[in-house]
Order: sequence, then structure tokens, then C-alpha cells
Amino acid sequence: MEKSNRRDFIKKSSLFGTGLLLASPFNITANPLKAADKVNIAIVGCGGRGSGMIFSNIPKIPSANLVAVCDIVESRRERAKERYNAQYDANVNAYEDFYEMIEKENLDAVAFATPDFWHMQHSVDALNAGIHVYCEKAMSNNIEDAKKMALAMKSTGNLLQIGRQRRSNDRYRFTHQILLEQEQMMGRLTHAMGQWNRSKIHLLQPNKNDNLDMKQLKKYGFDTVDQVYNWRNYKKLGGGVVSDLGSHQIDIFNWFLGAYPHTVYATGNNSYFGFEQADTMATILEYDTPKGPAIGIYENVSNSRAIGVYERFIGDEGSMNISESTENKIFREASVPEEKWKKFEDKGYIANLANMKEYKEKELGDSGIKETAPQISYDIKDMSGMDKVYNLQAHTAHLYNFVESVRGEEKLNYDAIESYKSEVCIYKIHEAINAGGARIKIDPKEYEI
Amino acid sequence: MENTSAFEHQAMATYFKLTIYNETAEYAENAAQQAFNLIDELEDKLSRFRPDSDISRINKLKKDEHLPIDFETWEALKIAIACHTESHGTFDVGVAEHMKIFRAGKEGILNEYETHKALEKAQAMKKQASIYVDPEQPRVYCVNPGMYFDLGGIGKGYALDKVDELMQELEIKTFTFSAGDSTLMIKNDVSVKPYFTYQITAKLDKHRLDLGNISVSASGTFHQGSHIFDPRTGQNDFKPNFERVWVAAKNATYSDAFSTACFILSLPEIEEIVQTNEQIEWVAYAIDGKLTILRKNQLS
Repeated sequence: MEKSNRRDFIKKSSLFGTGLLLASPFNITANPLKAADKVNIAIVGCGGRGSGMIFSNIPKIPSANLVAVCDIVESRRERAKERYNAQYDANVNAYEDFYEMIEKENLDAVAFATPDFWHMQHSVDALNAGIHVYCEKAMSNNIEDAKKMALAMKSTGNLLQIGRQRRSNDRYRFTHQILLEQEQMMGRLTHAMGQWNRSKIHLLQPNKNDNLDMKQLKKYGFDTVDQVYNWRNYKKLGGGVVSDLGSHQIDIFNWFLGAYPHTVYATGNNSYFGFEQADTMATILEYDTPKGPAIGIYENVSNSRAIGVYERFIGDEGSMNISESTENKIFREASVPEEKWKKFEDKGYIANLANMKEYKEKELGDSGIKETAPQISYDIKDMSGMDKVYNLQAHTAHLYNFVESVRGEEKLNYDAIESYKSEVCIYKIHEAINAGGARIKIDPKEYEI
Repeated sequence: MENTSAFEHQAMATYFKLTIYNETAEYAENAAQQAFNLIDELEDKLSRFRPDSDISRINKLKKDEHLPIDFETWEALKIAIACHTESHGTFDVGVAEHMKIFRAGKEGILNEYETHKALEKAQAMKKQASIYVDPEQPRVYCVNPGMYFDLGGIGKGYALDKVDELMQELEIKTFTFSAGDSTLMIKNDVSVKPYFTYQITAKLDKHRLDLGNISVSASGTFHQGSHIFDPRTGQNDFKPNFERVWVAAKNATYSDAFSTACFILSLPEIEEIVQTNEQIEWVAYAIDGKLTILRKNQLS
């Protein structure tokens, strides 16, 4: 199309609108990078989370160039390779052996979505080979290995980001950076509460086309087929509900409260499913925050998801529910004058969910007497004033932040040293549960690397 | 038939029922779990009520901004565009603001006068909006904002079609999958199970259907009331011609989308769609308590 015609087209589009259209606009470009500016990355582990990285995260990151996938189960890696190459007209290679892959491919970075017990060795070896690492949480299934990972990042100077993706979620970052730190909107936070409720611990099985060779799987540390598919249920392979689920949310307690617990109480058991790992747990965490003492209360339920997954923070001026699902509301304490929070509305930070003022009559109308209005609550509106808005789903944003950090364009949102601190209190919770329910003090020095 | 395993899952503000035939209970449970995980993942991508979904982020795009989206969101939006065109604008995913206004009206946040005016304003905004879906790559461009998406009319059908792909991958050939009772997918290995028998009913009539390898969706006034939303006008005062409409299609995305659309379309328009649309197999409707079925090649 000629330039003048294009201008006319765009002008008409903005006057009358085209609605939803299958077309590329002339005036907005996605600005793709040249191949040389991209980070060559491989994904290790092609199960649930690995597939998410391959098909949901990587394609949205212009600076990432997926060159290889790796999985010990042939059907999983071949399916991932074939589907990615077909969907994105790519040419990725598939490997069974991680070390063969890093030998043959020219990698800048590698991302691990593998069982916890493999994280340390692969991460340390990759960092020592000059490859930057993105590793799914938990860092490992024991504190000693987690420490080795943080130390390897420190000694090599290469990057190691840990996959607690709420740290790159725009809404969580905005809440922390603007609402809590800059505006002090909630006053002093006194309580953090959280739950992760799921209906069942589902046992996965091989699909019909998963051709498994047990002799070969033993080489990679698995004794049974069940261990390959349900490794989270085994203490020697994973960390159980506290590491898998709790660590995402307790890390947010630590982040928002600006402190790490000095004491943990915890109990749990495997009474519902009877696996090696606890399926039910509860913990109380005691903090000394910069504003005063605070309590964290956290629970996991594995036999009902009715109550969902959320974190809740209570302050003396406001409180909030925050989640990666639909539980997101901010409440003003009745003792805080409405006028005080109006400035947050005026800045565009929050919107009052109960007013829809853009549609209200400016004159009196019948605004005085009508049906009972719902309770006043707020939600985040525009994330203005923040250093960076990714506008990407948290898993993509977290990997994006890693890739851009490899390129030297950003700093890691959540490096291994920061992660290690949350892992310390997670392992203390493990310790308390394994002791049959105990109170454990944590020396501040234990959080240091 | 032996080896029948049934599973239920709650998602997308409704419940899904999956029944798998001719597989061991263990393998069926394994497949059901993968299917339900897939539905949860799709809800995370497609629901406007999930603040981190692709659709929520598209709805927040400002003028001249663009957004990379998931392959599945891209696929669903492309089908939504096709359905909008093929249904003469009666299927429309760009009505989230209208839905928000209805809700505010029901909750008493907006009075009747304000609701009517708000709908007029939302419709005017929508008419000047331009949102482009890139035909080459999973990306959305906001040329002009003002149109906000709700994939409620297509999301459940699309989810069923993605589960169908998964079942093929898992080599499961015979299953039925229902989304909230309003969309039913039937897949059958005809050598094992030639068809499944269902029945549709109206106030004074009923009809037995032997269904195989097809998806059927329904829309009606029984649950949603006698005044429904017409995306062409942007108002919720449309009085439908039918008490209920059923659409059978080769895939669930189309049956889901067209059951909504056909409820608003006139009878001649529906006849034309049945005759010409390759995806649509048949449409049934209820008027004055009596059922009529329109099939391809049986129309003049």
C-alpha cells in the first residue's frame, strides 16, 4: 500500500474503528532483534513447567532464541521439539543428556524445570562452564545444596535466577514498590496470611507413547517409574508441599514485610495421602519488621481447593488480598478518612470497585435512595510510577527479566542469594514438621551467604 | 460398554464432565488429570477475570501499544474473528465493558437510567475502536482502544477442542466431554461405539438424537431470562425469536459461538448458515414449545 493510502487508512481506522481485525497495523512494529542480539537458551525438562517455558514464555521474549530442549524421557523431548519447530518455524535440537547438550550447543543460558534433586549439580556445572542459569524453585531439596548454588553464582559472577515468579509479577511489584514502600498505604503491616488449597495430589502416569527404559532412568537417579512422574512425593527427590507451594507465598511474606522470620512453628503430616512428604501443613512465622513485630500464618490443604490460593496482608490503615488468580482486593480501614485514600485514586494507582464513576450521573439524579450498594473495596488500576512494567504474565516476565539481564539490559529480580534467604526459612519449616511439630529459632547469620 | 470412567472438574465459572470409554481406570484418570490441567491453563490465559491473563492485558492496552500473546489466545481470537464475520456480527467477543455495566446495574451500583446511558457510551467507544490481531505471529496491536474482550462465548468450546487434541495425542478414541451442560463434545471410535443417544426437549416436544463425532451447544431463555444482549445494538433488550437453540458443529468452538449467535439471528439467516457454513452440521430450535431441526441439504 502507498504511504498516503496507509495514512488515510490509519486515519479512518481511528475515526470509525475497525473493531477486531485480523491484520498488521502499519504504524506499530514489534521491533524484532537481530539474531546476534539474542540470547541462545536451552530448556532442560519438558514436563508441565518446562512445556510452559517452551510454549508460553519463550515465544513472548523477543531476545530469547531457543536452540535446544533436553529431557530424559524421549517422547517428551521429541514432542516438545516437533511442536515448537512446527508452531514457530524453528530448528531446535533435542537431547537426553544435559552435558552432551552444553558441549555441543553454543549456549548463553540454560533454564531448568527438572526435579529439585538435580538443580544443584546442573546449575553449578553450568555456571562453571560460563553459562547463565534460570532454575525453577526450589533451589534444591536440602539447604546445603541451595547454599552451594548461591556460592557458585557469587564465585563465577554468572547469573542465577530462581523461579519464584511472583517477584516479576507486575501487580506484586507495584504493590511492593509503590503502594507499600513509596506510599505506605497500609500503614504498619502486622499480619501476613496465605493458603494454597488444591483438590488432590494427582498421581501422573506414563502416556501410551512414553517408551521408558528403566535401566536408563536409573542412570539419572530414579529407582521407579513413579519416581520419574511423581518425584515431588519423594524426600530424596523433592521438597514436598512446603517447597513446591509454600515457598512461593512465604517468600512474598518476607518480601512485603521487609524481613525474614526469627522463629518458626510448624506442623504437618501425610495423613490424607500417605506419601513420604507431608500433604497437609500449617506454620506460624514470627518477624521483627522495620515497623515492628509481625506474624505470618500459612497453610496447605491437599484435599479441597474450595478456598483457593491467595496471600492476605493486614495493616493498621488498610489490608489486601493478592493472588495470581481472582482474589485481588484492597480495603481501607474505616478509621482512615476516605479523603486520605482519594489521593491514591487521583494518582490512578487504585480504582474504587463500587463506584463506576465514569458512568455516574453528575447531577443528583436518584443517587440518594436506591438498592443497597456493595461494600467499598479497591483494585489496582494503573501501574504508574514503577521502574518497569513488563505487561507479561509472571512466568514470562520472570524469564524475560533473566534473559534481559544476560544481555546486560536489566538486573535480576530474584537472584540466588535473595532466594537462599527464603529457602532457609523453608528448610526450618521442614525441620519443624519432621520433628513432629516444633518451635525453631533462626539466627540472623543463617540467612547470610 | 466396559471400562467407563467419569470425572468432574470446576473451572471457567462452571463444571466440566469428562467420561472416557474403553481405557483402564488408571489410564483414564491420568488422561483426565492432564485434560483438567489444560483447561486450568487455558482459563489462566483466556479469562478476563484473571488479572494476569492475555485477555486482561489486551484489555489494558493503550493506543499504539502491542502485546505478545500465547499461541492459544491467538488461535481463539482468530476463530472469534471468523465467527463474528460468519454470524453477521451476532457473535462478538468485544463486549466485556457491556457485561461489566450489566453487572453494575444488577448490583445497584448504576441505576436503570445510568445503565442505559452507560451501554450507549460503551457501544460508541467500541465502534471507534480498532484492535488488530497479527495474522503472522501471536501478537495483538491496539490501534485505537475502546473495545474490551470477554471470551465467555467461545472459551469453553475452545477448551473442549484443545482437550480433543490432547486425547488424540494420548490415543484415547472414545469420550464425551461436557462444559457446564451447555456444550457437549462426543468423540467415538465407531467400531467400538457407533453413537451416543441424547434427547433434546421443548415444553411440548422432545427429540431423540444419535450423536457421533460431533459437538452440540445450546442457548436459551430458561436460565438467562427473556431479555438478552444483542452485540449489534449494544443493549440488553432483545426479545429472542426462540425459546432455545441447539447448534451441532464439527468442533466445539463453533458450536459454542454459533449457539449464542443463532439465538439472535432470524430464521432465514440461520437457514443460510446451516446451508453454507462448513463447520455447522445442523441447528435445532424451539418455538411455542415445539422443536424443529434444520439439516444441511434438507433446506430449499
